[in-house]
Amino acid sequence: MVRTLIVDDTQETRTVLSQITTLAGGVVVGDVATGMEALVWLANHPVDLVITDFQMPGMPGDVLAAQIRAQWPDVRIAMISVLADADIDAKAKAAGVHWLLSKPVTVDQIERVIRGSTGHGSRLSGAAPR
Amino acid sequence: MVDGERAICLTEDARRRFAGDLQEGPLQVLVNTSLRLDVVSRLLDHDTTRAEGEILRIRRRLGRTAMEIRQRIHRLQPVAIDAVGLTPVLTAMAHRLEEEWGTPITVADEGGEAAGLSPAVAMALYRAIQEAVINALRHAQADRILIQLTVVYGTLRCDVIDDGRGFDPQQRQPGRYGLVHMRQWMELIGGRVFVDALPGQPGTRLRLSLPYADVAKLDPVFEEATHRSAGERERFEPSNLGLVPANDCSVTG
Repeated sequence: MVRTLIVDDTQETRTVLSQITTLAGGVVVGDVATGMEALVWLANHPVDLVITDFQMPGMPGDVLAAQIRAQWPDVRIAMISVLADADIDAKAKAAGVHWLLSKPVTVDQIERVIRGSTGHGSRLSGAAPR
Repeated sequence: MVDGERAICLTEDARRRFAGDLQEGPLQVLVNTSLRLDVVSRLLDHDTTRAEGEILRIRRRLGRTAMEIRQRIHRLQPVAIDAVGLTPVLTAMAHRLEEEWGTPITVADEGGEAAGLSPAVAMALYRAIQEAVINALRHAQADRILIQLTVVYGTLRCDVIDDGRGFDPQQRQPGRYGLVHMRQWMELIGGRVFVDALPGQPGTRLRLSLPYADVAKLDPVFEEATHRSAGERERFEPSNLGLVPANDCSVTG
C-alpha cells in the first residue's frame, strides 16, 4: 500500500489526481492546497508518496520537495508541472524530486510512480521530523 | 514614470495577466480533461456506470469553460466609447455582467458627468471601472454593485460600491492584480485610486478620482471652495473621508 498525499492549489485537479492515483493502485490518504498544509499533514500522518504541483501560490513545489527531503528523506516525491523546461528540471533535481512529470499526466505514469514508491514507505512522516 | 513608460507597463501587465488567465483557466481545464479521459478509458473495462458519470462531468465542465472563454473574449473586445460616450458603454457593461453573474449592477450618472471626457480618457476610466466591478464580482460575493459618477470640487469621482465581503487593502493577495491595473489605468490619465474597505466587514467603496476641468460640471461648492486655504481644501480630499490611497498600501484584488 502506497499512502499518497496530493498537493495542488486547485480543488478540481486534486480530485482528478486522487482518482488517477486510486486507479493506479495507490491509496490517497489526504489532499491539501498548499505546501504549508502539506508539511503539517506530513508531520501528523504517515505518508509514502507526495504528488505535488510545481506552480503553487506561497510555497512552490520544489521548495516543498526540498523541505520534505530534509525532514522525511524516505518519502518519495513526484512533482507535476504544466510547463516543463530546463529551469524547472534543474529546480526539481536540486530539490531532490524523484519524478518530474509534465501535465497532463496519465494513469500509466502514476502507476510507475506508485511502483517506484513501494517499499520506500515513510515510517518517519507522522513522527517527529529529523 | 512618464506616460509612455506607464503605457508600456500596462500593456506588458495585460499580456502577462492574459497568459496567466490562459494557464489557470482553459489550459488547466484541458489538462484536467485529459486526466479525466484517461480515467474514463480505464473505467470502461470494468465500470461503465462510473465511466458514463465521468463523461457527463467532462461534458459539463467543457460547456462551462466555453462560456467562460466567451465572457473573457467579450471583456477584451473594444468598446465604442468615442461613438456613444462613457455612460452608455458602462450601462451596457453593467447589463452584460449582470446577466453573466446574476448580481444587480446600477450605473448612476444623473448629471451626465462623464460627457465631457475625451475618448482616450474615457476609455482608460472605463477599463479601470471594469476592473473594479469584476473584482467585486469575483472576490466580494456582492449582492449589489453601484457605479456612481459625480463631480465634486473639480474632481470627477467614480465610486464603485458593493455590499459584499470587505478586504484588507494593506494585505497583498497572491495572484490578484485588479487594483494594480486600476491604479495603472488611472495614473495614465492623471487620476488616482482610493479604497475604503475593512477585512470581514461588509461593503467596499473604491473611488477612481480624476481632475476634471469642465467648470460647467463642477459642484456648487466649488466656487466657495476655491477661495479657501490649502488647509481647508484638505477637508475635501478622499483620504479624510476614510479612503486609503491604493498606491500608499499593498494592493489586493
